[in-house]
Amino acid sequence: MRRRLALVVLVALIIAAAFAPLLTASPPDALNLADRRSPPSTVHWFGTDDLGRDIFSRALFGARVSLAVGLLSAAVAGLIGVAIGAASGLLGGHVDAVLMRATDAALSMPRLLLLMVAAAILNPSIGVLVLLVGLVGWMETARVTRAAFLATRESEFVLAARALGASSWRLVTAHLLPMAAPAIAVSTTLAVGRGILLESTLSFFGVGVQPPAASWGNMLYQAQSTMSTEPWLALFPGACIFVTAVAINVLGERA
Amino acid sequence: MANLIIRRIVAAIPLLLLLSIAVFGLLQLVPGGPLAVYLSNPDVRPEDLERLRRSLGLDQPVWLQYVRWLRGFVSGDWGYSFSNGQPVLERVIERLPASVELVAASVVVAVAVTLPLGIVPAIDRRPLVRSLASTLSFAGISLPVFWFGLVLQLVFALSLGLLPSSGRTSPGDGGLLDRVSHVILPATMLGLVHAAAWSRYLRAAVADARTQPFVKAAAARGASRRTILWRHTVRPALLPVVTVVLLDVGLMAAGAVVTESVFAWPGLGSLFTEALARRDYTLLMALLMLASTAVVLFNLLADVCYAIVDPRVRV
Repeated sequence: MRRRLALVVLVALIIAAAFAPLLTASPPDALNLADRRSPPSTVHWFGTDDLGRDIFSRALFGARVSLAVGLLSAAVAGLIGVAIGAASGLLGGHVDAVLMRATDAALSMPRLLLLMVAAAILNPSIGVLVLLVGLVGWMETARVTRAAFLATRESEFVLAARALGASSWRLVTAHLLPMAAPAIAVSTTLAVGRGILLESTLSFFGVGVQPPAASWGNMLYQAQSTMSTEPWLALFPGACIFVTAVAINVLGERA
Repeated sequence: MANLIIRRIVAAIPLLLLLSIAVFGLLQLVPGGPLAVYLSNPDVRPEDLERLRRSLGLDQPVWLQYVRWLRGFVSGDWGYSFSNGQPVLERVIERLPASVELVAASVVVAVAVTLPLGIVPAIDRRPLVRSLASTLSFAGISLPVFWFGLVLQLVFALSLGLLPSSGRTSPGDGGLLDRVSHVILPATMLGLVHAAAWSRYLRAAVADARTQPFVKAAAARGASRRTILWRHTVRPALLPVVTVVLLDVGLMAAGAVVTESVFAWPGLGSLFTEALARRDYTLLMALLMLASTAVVLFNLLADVCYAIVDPRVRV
């Protein structure tokens, strides 16, 4: 029930983001100096900012950026994680030991701080940002993939396939990966939520998605200084992040 | 026991080396190198730059620079801050107490929230209680921390005026009450997010402990419900949670960057954001290393504590 609700919320968000131009009265970067800093109303559902830009419109267009960064970075993290976890679980021995030490090392890095420094140095485009966020999110997937591989590696149907002369590639693609898929799906789902949170945090510090493009995080970055007079500037984008992250985490919950 | 500790420490060393390579490598990516700030300054002549480069050892191969930097870091010579020329170590020590204070207060808040949120729903199995607790946990792990902080600030400081909105003390004050009132909001922000995760572990651990044979045995011996609950269920359930808590404290120190920036808390976290804004790379490098070391150290501590409370892993 809860998961269905979460799915509905996410699909609605994705559709709204995709059809953002149809759902908004004014483009996200349209200035309207006559209508600055106005609180939420029937015309501007989420209010307007100091340049008279419509926050609802910016939040919807920002959803495109935030969701895209979340989904794509999770895909990057998933690919790296599955590759490392699969190599580790399949090959075992020294390869496994080295890869798992590396995973431990990566897990004990303060990811947020490293990302902030990397983003400050590289001044990333959105594509590079996706790569960066993905690069710090593969560890969980690597671990669950390895665990699933270890659990099924010695099972009888795998031994049978091996005895029939199946290649390693065939073992992985036809037998081990399908068995690991549910665990990989869960950890990748959670990676989407983490990606969205990381992007918004980076943008909040001004090193993520750069204005004038809107993302939920950089809307908050701009809103921070006017919290006391125009709180709606911060409340709505933050609520968007929150709702999305809750929905994703509910969806990824192990049943 | 001593054996185990030594083994863990030895295992932590390559980890730290790997981390130091990552940090050093990252800073090598800075466009223009460490002297980038001077490159655009017309008052700095090329020959001065050359001299500076030689005196800082930047003309040497990268691996040699790395070794020198690492040796310096280990021996406490962390170089000088680019932005104000003060020794990095001095700047870090200046900010350390505020950070420790914040993390300690956050742990207190987090534990105070974790215990009821973890124990009550595992015992009171009414659907309402259970779904309320799990909803709270979900909300907690999904919260964008900085936004949560902004909302706290808006509600409790700016709208209601109950608590100060930023800083560590009011100017001219600094009494205990003043300091406590300043730390409440940032500690809540930093603590609640972790409490959400911790309470999920605790809930699972309590639920698991309830099914153990020793609980049944205690009930069969006629132990009171209270004894069964606290002694035989909660106590063993707390053991694994302690390690999770310790693991997280290291991360909490890193997460404090966000909290300190929202509440203008004068600790290492805001030092980090200042260094980031000024592109003060020597300072950033030291802070990154410090944060990584803290995580590794708390990992180590968690392992050791676990071995103390649970003899089964001491092999």
